[in-house]
Amino acid sequence: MRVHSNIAITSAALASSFGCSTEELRANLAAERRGLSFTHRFSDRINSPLGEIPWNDLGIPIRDPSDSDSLLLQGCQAVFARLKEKSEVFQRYPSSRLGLFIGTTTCGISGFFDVTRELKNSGRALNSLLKADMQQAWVGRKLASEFAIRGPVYTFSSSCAASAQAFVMAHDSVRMGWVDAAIVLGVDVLNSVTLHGFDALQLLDPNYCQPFSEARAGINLSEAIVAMVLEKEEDPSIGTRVRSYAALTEGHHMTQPAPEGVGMQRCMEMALVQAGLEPHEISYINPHGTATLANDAGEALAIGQIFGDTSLVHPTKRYTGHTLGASGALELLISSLMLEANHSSAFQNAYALKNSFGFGGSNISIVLQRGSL
Amino acid sequence: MNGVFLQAALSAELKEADHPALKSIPLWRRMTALQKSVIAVFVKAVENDPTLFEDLKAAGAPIYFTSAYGEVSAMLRVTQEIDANSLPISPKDFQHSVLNAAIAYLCIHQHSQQPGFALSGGYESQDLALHLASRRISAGLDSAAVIIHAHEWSDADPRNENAKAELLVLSALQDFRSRYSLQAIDQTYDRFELGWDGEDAGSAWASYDEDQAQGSIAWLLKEGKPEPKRSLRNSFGLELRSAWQELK
Repeated sequence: MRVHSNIAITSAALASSFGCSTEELRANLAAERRGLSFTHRFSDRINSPLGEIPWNDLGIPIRDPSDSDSLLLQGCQAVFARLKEKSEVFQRYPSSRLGLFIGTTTCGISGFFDVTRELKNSGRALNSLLKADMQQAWVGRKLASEFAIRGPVYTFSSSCAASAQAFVMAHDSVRMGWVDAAIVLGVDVLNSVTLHGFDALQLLDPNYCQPFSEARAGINLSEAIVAMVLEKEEDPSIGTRVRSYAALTEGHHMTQPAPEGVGMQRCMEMALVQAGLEPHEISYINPHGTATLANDAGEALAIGQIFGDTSLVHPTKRYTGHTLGASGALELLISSLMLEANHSSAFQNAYALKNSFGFGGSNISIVLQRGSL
Repeated sequence: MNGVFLQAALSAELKEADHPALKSIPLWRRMTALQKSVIAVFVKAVENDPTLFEDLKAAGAPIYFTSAYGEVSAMLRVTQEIDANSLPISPKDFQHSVLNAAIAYLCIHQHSQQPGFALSGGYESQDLALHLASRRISAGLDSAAVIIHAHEWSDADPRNENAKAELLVLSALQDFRSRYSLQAIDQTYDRFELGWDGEDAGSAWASYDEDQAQGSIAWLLKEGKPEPKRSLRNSFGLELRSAWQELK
């Protein structure tokens, strides 16, 4: 979808293993610091590096590592409190004109464990045990209530494309005047379902992951909570804007990309056409780049077909790990910071391409723009 | 602002005996009840009007898939395996626990590349999808959209899985298919704010309230039709309203 909007990312707050502020992200990107460690709260079960949010630094002690939903909610509350300090968005607009668009894959898991135990102990029918906190949407409801967000609240759960989908839907909600500002929240917290699931799929690299490397051997899982404000901003020197986006479902396979990355290629090509840009006008590519054999092979081929080679590719999961449903939001923020760092003049047009290619062939490519419109 | 018209609306419960052709679908035996219900309702809709769905495919109309609890049985099998320390868990169950697995299967089966958005909205899932899809069409961001809302449940015997799905096709185009036009759509936490205070929700409006629902699902369709006036309130006080007019 082509967009020539005056809607910009005006503020962000986050918690991740790679930094808990945009300043830390910038510094860690410049230093190429890795936010992954072999020492983590799941070391007794998972023999692979993970990226953990520094929970203690956020003032959130981990009492029960298996209660991921409690951490998730407290982490989101802490990130929202920081966003509230940084941004005037909560004061500037009526609460009914403020929206919340969440991308996540791990909300509600603790609720399922509770029901698992109740089913075993009570013998009651499942229907009588279904509860609101088993829904991915529960955290959005709680945050909206606590932070007085009374506009639309949506939770997207299209696997690793979740928060990239939330981002474009948030953008469009401002664009069509449904809301004055929208908060995008990408959130996923490490938990036993995700860890044992990827372990069962044999997709975890026992060493540090190496996306877009011939030596790659799988994913390092990680966690992040990223909140961004999208609102109208007439000053072109402020914020990164969306130039275009394209989304499709590959319709090929549940876990493997279509041969030679043709679905990925088509998605990127659609985004470029919608942007009205030639490939050489893109100066930065943040790929999905999970470091799995199949994803990176397909994505590298697809990028090579469009751009000639992969020299523009900056696979940042090498540093951040794969934050799953939060990865789109985290890497859009990183792409925005890289555009700023590489193009100091706000009046110099510069474009970045961000890919999120999720499970089930859920693809989305977003072209970001820095500079005057 | 574009009008929004209902081009197709139907429901399907997962009863393989009613759809013998479904068993021949590749990967059918592998799918969860929820995924089967999604395929079943879509196959039924395509059989009714193949041209419409070819047009939707060509237009790249988005598919909004929504479910209150998602892949309940697959997720429970995963948590049961972990709880019992039965590791490694089943890779298939893990893949199927993902909310967009149903869309992935649907697009594989239909050879479709339509973008799929998996939405979790709790009790109000289906109404949220209707609001999002219709607002985007109304604003000219999409020309059409498919909404699929599904729910899976089981009785005391967890092997007896059941699921139901409903499907609505919305379009900005009014043509011979258009049976209803969307007259109004709005949301509020405060009915006075929108001037709803003088209206008696109990009479003209079909009302749904999460606090009284006791786990039941507020389906969008009643006997294959949208309700003329519908009001749904969740436990946080959010009220979503929609109104349809039947076209003669």
